[in-house]
Amino acid sequence: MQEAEKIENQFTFQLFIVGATTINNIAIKNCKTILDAHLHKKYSLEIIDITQNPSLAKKEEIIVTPLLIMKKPTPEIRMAGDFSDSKKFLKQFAIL
Amino acid sequence: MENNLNTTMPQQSYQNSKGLIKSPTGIIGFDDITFGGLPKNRPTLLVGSIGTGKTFMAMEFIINGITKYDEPGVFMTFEEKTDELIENVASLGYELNNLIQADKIYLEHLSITHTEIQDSDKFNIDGLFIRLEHAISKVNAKRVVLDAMDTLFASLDTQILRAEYKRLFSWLKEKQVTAIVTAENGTTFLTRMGLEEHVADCVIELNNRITNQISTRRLRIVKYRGAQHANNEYPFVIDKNGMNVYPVISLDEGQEISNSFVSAGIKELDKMLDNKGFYVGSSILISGSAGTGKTSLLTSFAESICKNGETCLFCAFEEAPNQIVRNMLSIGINLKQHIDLKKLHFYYARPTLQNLELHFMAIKEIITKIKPKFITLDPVTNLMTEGPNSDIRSMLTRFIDYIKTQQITVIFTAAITIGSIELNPSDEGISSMVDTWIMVEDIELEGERNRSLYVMKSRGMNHSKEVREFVITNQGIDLIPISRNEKGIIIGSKRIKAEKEKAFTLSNNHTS
Repeated sequence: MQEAEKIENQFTFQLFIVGATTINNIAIKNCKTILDAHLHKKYSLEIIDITQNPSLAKKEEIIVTPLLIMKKPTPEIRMAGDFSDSKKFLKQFAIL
Repeated sequence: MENNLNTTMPQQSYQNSKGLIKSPTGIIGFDDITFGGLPKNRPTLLVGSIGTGKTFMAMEFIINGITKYDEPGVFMTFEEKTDELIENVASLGYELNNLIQADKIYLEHLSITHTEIQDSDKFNIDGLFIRLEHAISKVNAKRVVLDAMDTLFASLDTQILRAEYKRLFSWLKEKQVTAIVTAENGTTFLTRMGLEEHVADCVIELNNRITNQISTRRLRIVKYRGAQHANNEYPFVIDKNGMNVYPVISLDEGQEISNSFVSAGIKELDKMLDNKGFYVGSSILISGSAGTGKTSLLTSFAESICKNGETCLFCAFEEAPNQIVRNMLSIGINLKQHIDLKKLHFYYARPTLQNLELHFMAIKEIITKIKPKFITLDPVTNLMTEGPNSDIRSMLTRFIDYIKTQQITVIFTAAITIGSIELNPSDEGISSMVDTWIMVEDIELEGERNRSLYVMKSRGMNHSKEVREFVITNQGIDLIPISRNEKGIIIGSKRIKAEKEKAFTLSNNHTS
């Protein structure tokens, strides 16, 4: 059971956004699409709106948004944008 | 964020006739040249290359905001980590930790990893806004600094950069905070931003140039929308008392012009100066070639001031004070007693060792401490290295103007003669700066060197046009009218001979 869980959440992502804007929705959608296509179910994606959590913004050093942070596997990789370019996305996160 | 307008706050900013409110920086000289400070509740862009003092100026703006104007502040920087910042600022006398404890200042280090944005083209800086908002509300800030913003903007592509930059400035305006945004590499940054046209309401540039081996810091107001501002470049210094900008003091701004006089210390000289002497708060130049007795004249004056119970600051740029004291003793002037009585103070420095402004800063400090009524600079020509230098000359002008606004009478010596002015026309600039100009000249006649003195000019009085023989005896200085006979002028040993003959004749007449 634990083994399965491990494989299940091999990739852990956090997507930081500010508010509910068009670009944020696009980013979320694109992100999910790419991750679903290439990682299937083997990832977890947490969407965090830092409007209500400025201390977290400070802790994670968020300046630009939308910002996707890959927490696992380490090392941490960060990427800002709306993720409309899947090639760049995959390259950045070294997926494939 | 709620806009907390506390109406019982003391009036810290004042309006000019056009209704633009300004936020005082508390930086000496700066509020003068901007007629009040920075535009209140607007963002100002502060540019300049590395080491020009941007961070320091911005920090002083925040600290003064807290300590002088009861306005808490936020300082966010891309450049230094917060403990580095605290340390660097501490070395200049600011204890940030106390202010942090008291929730008056909020410091935060911002970092951006360039790899996170290098391949992107659709993002914004909303994250920064969230953090800024948070910071501002934490201390109820009215002043905000974003230091080294070009670190962020440098990595953005031009389109996003311009858009976000505009948004940042609008956002800051909305928050009703007076902000300073600093950036390096002014020209490139300004051009990239298209700043010449729109965004920043106020742009200030700092630079640090080296001319004739002297490094001078300068500040320039590039732009100040909607208000009057002075256009020039102003020299400034940063020392343990903070930043100090040298404005050009406008003498007609309600400054009291004194009508009282002070004795020149030599009876005959007072007579030549319309029986008055020098106007209090005026500037006097004693010029003449080397060895003509300028320093003796100067110290004679200083002695008379001290005898009258006033304080005098003697700035020696050539001879050491103990040398001057010893030399003056030989002409009957005892300076030691005045030094002991703390009436006469010396400031001694060789100008080649230090920056010119640092001298002026040091002298200014002494002025605030001992509050002298008179200052002497001997000689001032030593302060100008390698011939005419307009930067140094303008600094000297500002310094003298400053002294005058303090109602201090200033006398200086210079190795300038009519001949030297012909060779160096810019030397005349010094003489045009002063109210009284006394010339000491050598007269070589029949193998003998004597000296003459005359008043070249003295504003506001009917001074004598006479040329007198200038004699230094062991009883002090004498100014003897020059008489003539059919053979020419009677001066020096000839005069002494003539006096003896006259005395002899007189005594003969008595006896016979």
